[in-house]
This record gives sequence, C-alpha cells and structure tokens, in this order.
Amino acid sequence: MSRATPVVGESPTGPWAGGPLHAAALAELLVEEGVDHAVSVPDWVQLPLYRYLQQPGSGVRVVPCCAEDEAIAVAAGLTVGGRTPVVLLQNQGLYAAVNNVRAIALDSEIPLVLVVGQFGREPENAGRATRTSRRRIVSLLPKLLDALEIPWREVHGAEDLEAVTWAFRERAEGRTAAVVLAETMSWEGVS
Amino acid sequence: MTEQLDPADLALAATEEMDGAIFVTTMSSIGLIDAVPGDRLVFPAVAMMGAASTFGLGLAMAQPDRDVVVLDGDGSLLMELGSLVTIADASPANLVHVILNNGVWFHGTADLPVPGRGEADFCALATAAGYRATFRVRTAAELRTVLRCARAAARTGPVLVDVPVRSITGKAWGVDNPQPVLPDPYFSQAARGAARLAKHLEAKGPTSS
Repeated sequence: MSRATPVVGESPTGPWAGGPLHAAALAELLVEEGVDHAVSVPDWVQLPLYRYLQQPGSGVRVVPCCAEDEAIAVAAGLTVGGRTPVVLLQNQGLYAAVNNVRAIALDSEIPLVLVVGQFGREPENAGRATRTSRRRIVSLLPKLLDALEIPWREVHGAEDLEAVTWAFRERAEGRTAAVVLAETMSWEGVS
Repeated sequence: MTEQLDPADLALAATEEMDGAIFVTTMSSIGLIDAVPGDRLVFPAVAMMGAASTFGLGLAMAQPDRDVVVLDGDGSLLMELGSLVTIADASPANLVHVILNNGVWFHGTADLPVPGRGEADFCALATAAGYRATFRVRTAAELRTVLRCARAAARTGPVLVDVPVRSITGKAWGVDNPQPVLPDPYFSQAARGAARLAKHLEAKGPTSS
C-alpha cells in the first residue's frame, strides 16, 4: 500500500494500513491491561491520550511530574506497592531520565512499561523505521534503547497496537523495562 | 540556636516513632537505618541519588493505608528539587519526608559543600511547593515530639521535617586512604530491597485506593 505524506500542520491521517492510532483505543487497552496510574511529563504526540485519561471515569489516575526522572521513580514506587502504572514520556524526556531508567528498571529489576512519543518526527519518515529519521531527536532513541538492552517496539498506526500488549507481557514476566515508541495519535473519539 | 543532631539518634527515633511505616532510604540513611536493630520494611534507593522522594510518593499512593517515611538527604533532594512540587500536587495523606541536612556530599570522607549550605531553606521550599506542613528540629530533646507531630500532620497531606545533623566523622579520603572499591552486592541491594518489599506487600493484600 502506498503511503501518503502528511502535510505539516495537519493531523496525519493517511500512511498507515490500519489507520492512525486512536488515543481512545490505546486508553481502553491500557485499562484492559490493568493500568491504574499514568505517570507522566506531557508529550506532544500523546496529547489526545492525556485528554482521554483526564476525563472522569477513565479509570486511570494521571500523575503529573515535574521531570521525567521523577516519573520513572514514581512509577517504580507504585509498582513495588502493587499497582500497575504506565509511564508516558516524550523522546526528549527519556533522554533526560536515563540514569533512573538504568537504576530502577535495570539494576533494581523493577519492571516498567513506557510509552514514548516520537516528538519531532519529520513527515517524510511517517510509517517508516524510527532509526531512519533524519532528525537525531527521533533516530537516536532506538539506538539508545539497544545500548541499554531495553526491548522496544514501534507503533506507527492502529495495526501496531499489539505492541502495547507485548509490553505488558514483558512486564508480567519481570523483564526490566519495555518501551513502546508512539509515532502519532489521533484525536478521533476524544472530546 | 539550632543544634546539629547525631544522625544515628535520628535513625533510632524515626524507626521507633514511625513504627510500622515503610522507609525509603538513600545515601547515608541506608546504613543508618540498617544499623538499627529490628525488622522493618525498607527500600534502599541505591545509585539513584535524588529518586528517593518520588519513589516514596509512588509507594505512598500505592499503599494509602500505610505511612511512608522518606529519609532523604539535602544533597539528594537538591538533585530532584522539583519533586517537592510533584509530591505536593499528588498530595498523599501518608508521606513524611525527612531531610538529613548536613550540608555536605560525601560526609566524613570528603565533605564537599552542598550548594546553598546553611542558606537554602527546605521548610520554606516545601511550604511554597504546597506541602501541608513543615517542621524544623532545633534540639535533640524535641526530635521525637516533632516526629510524632509530623506523623499526625501527614494524615492531611505530605509533610517535611528538616533535621540538621552532624556529618559522620570518618577518615578523610586521600593519598593514603583512597575511596574503597564498591563490591557487586552494593549495586544489587536496591533489587533485593524492591523484591522483598513487593513480596511482603503482596502477601498483605491490596489496600484501599
């Protein structure tokens, strides 16, 4: 299937075989996986998800943090305390939080699921491998995760949503951290 | 005149006055709490300097029916100072945030001054961030009373207790006494602590949220 190039300034709607990832579908899947807290520093890509989760009755408490390293530690405390958090960050935030990711997910063996928005991805790279982006803010992230030996998967559109289920399966098996890289997110269904 | 307390006295008083609480320790408080006889719930935040306060916040939100006591350092808190605002915003009604305020990093062995030493006011910072109450311990004699008051005040929101403590006397690092090699178990104690604490809390069953 040919992939159209989204126009800068418009919501991308075209280059994914199964359509764009809907925030509502992702939120419902998170709840199905047992998520009760979303610990976060806001991310451009995931703004529709925040809007959805902040609605009364979403079933998920959003915990805003001042910095991403804090978010990793809050999620770790929740996890050890018996809850099921998801960490929502931007790629810049993961770069900023590397030491706590190393200390908590790797050395302390506290399993975390992170959904990381690919802020700054150029339209020509939509639907393609993250590492082929011409922008370092995007392309360095999978290389960094590989260096940290943290497993990751990309979610380009709705057809890739299984990556979220995969991440929580990794968590259940006690595998350090599992990262889902979110390319874009649709506002459809979010009031 | 504010007295500088013996940090070992603080550790003993905290374990006795905060009996039944979950302790989050970091840097010097790890060894201080470990040295107090008895069995208690502890997570040692090793090699994640600055993370104790927000780890404690997560625990407090997960376990609202238990008190969580973070035994932080002044230098550690400064590394994630924004955590004061994050904690106040979440506003758990079971978190006591204690600052072992000795003004230095690498106490007793290098004693490097912490920025703002003697000037930065952690009670004022916490109040401005939105903590429900703050306490500064001025004498050893009032320590236990302050800890009891702090625990009671934490029923309505997070509280901070600033405790000026003496730097533990040790042999300064130098040519004849270089920094020791840290063994592997040092770097895995957080994993052991997390596993032990999670297992205990799981066995006790879920608390109300």
